[in-house]
Amino acid sequence: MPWERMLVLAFALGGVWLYDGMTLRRKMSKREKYVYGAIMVLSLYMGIDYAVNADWPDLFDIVGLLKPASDAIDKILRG
Amino acid sequence: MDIRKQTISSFQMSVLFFVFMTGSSIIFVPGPLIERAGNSAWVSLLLSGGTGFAILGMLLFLNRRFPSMTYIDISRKMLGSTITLLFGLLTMTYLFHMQAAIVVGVGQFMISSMLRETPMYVFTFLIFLISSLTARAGIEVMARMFMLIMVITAVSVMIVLTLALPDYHPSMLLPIMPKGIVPVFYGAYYTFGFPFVEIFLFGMLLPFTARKKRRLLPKHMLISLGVSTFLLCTVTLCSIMVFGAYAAENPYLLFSIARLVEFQEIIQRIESIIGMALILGSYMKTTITLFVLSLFMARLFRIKDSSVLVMPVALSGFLLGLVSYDSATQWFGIITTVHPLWTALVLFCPLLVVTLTAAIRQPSIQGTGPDTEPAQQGVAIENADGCTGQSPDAGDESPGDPESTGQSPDADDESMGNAGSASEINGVTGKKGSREQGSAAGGPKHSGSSAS
Repeated sequence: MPWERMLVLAFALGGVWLYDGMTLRRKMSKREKYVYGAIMVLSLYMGIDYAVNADWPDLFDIVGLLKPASDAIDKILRG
Repeated sequence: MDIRKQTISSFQMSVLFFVFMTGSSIIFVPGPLIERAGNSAWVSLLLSGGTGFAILGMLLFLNRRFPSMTYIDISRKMLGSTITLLFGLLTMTYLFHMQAAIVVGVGQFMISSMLRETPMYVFTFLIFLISSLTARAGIEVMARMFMLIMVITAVSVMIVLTLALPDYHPSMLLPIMPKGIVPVFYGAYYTFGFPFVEIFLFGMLLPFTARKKRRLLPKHMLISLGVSTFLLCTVTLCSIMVFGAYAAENPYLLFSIARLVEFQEIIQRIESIIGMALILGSYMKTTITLFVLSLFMARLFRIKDSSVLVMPVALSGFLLGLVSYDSATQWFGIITTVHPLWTALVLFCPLLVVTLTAAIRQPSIQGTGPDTEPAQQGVAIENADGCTGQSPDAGDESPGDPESTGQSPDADDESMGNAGSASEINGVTGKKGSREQGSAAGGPKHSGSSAS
C-alpha cells in the first residue's frame, strides 16, 4: 500500500534527520556537509523509488553488467 | 566519546575479526556450498580459506609497513589520489551492497522460517537502527560488546552441534569427490566471494590496534581466521552427516539441524537459539561493515570525523535493501553468481595492486615501524581485557597532539592524505613540536620522516 511505504520512508528519513539534527548541529565542516548531502540525495532517490514503487535504475542494474561474465564462469565450473 | 581517539587490543581486534567472518556465514554458507561442491564442500572451504589467509597476509604486511595508516591512506600513498579515488568508488559499490545484503539475508531468514506475514522492512529497519547507533559509538564500544555476544553465539552453536550427535551418520561423508575436482573449485569460487574476500574490510580497522599490542596482532588475527575456517568446516561436515545429499536442498542448514535436536524428550525444537545466533551475528557484522564503510568514505573524501556519515550510510543501506530486493530468486542469483566476480574486481584486485606496489617500492619508501613511531596519545579508557584504550606510550612520553601523532586513522587528513609528504610517511602532521617530542622520548629519528 502506498501510504504504508510513505510512512516507512517518513520514519526512516525523519529519524535520521532528527537524530543528526540534534547531535551534529553546527559541528560539521563544509566538506562533511557535501558528502552527507550527497548520500542523502542518493537515499532520497531510493526512497522515492520505494514509495511510488517505480523500479527506477538501482545498483543491481549497474552490477548486472557483470552478469554475462559471471554466468559464463558459473557455467564452466558447473560442468 | 571521540572515536578518532579510540584504540583496541590485538585480542579485541581478533574477536571483531572472528565475529565478522563467522557472524552470518555460519548460517548462509553451508547450504549453497554443498549444492555446488557436494561432499567435498569442506575441501572447498579449505581452498578458499587459503586465499583468505593470503588476503589477511597482504593486510598484515601493509599494516606492518604503515601501522597508523588505513588501506585508503596507503593506497593514496602508493598509487596516488586519482587511482585511489577510482578504486575507492568501485569498492564502495560493493560495501554499500554488502551492508544491505547482510540485513536482507536476516529478513529473508525470518520471513521464510518464522514470521511469514511480517514485511521485510520491520527486520531491516530495526537491525539498521541498532547497528548504526552502535557504529556511531565507536570501535571500543563495539569490541567490548561483541566479546560477550560472540561467546553467547559460539556457545549456542556448539550446544546445537553437540546435541545433534545422535543424528550424525559419518558414512554420508563418502565418497568425498565423486565428480572429480571441478566441484571443489566451484565451491571454492563461491566461498571466495562470501565470506573470505570480505577480510579486505579489516584493512581499514587494523590501525585501531593499540601500539603496545601490535606485536601480537598477526598471531591473533591468523588464529582467529583459522578458528573461523575450522568452525565453518565443522558446520558443513555436520550438515552433510545429518542430511547427506539432501543438504543442498536446504538454505539454512544449521537451523534445520537445530530443529531435529531431541534430547531426553526435554530439550526439543531449539531452532530459535540458532535464529537468535543468526540475528546477533548479522547485527555484529552489519555494525562492523557500517563502521568500515563510514570510515572508508571519510578517508576517501578526506573527512575528519567518520561518525558523521554513519546515519546516512545506514539509511542508504536500509533503502537499498528495499528497492534492490525484488525476489528471492533474483537475490540468490546475485549472491551466488555475481558476488565472486564482483568482489574479485573491486576488493581483491585493488588490494593486490596496492600490496604489490608497496612490496616493489619497499626500499625507497619507509613507513613507520614499531620502533620509530612518535609519541601517541589517546583517551585512557580501560578495555575489557585490562588494556587501556590509550596508546601505551602516552604515559611514558610527552603527549603530543592526538591528531598529530597519527594514532587514529582519522588524524589530520592534510598529513595522512597527501601522498609523498614527509608527515604522511610517519603519520605525523607537519607540527614540528610533536615530532621533536616524539623523538626526544626515545624513538630513534627515522630517516623516512624527512623523505617524501
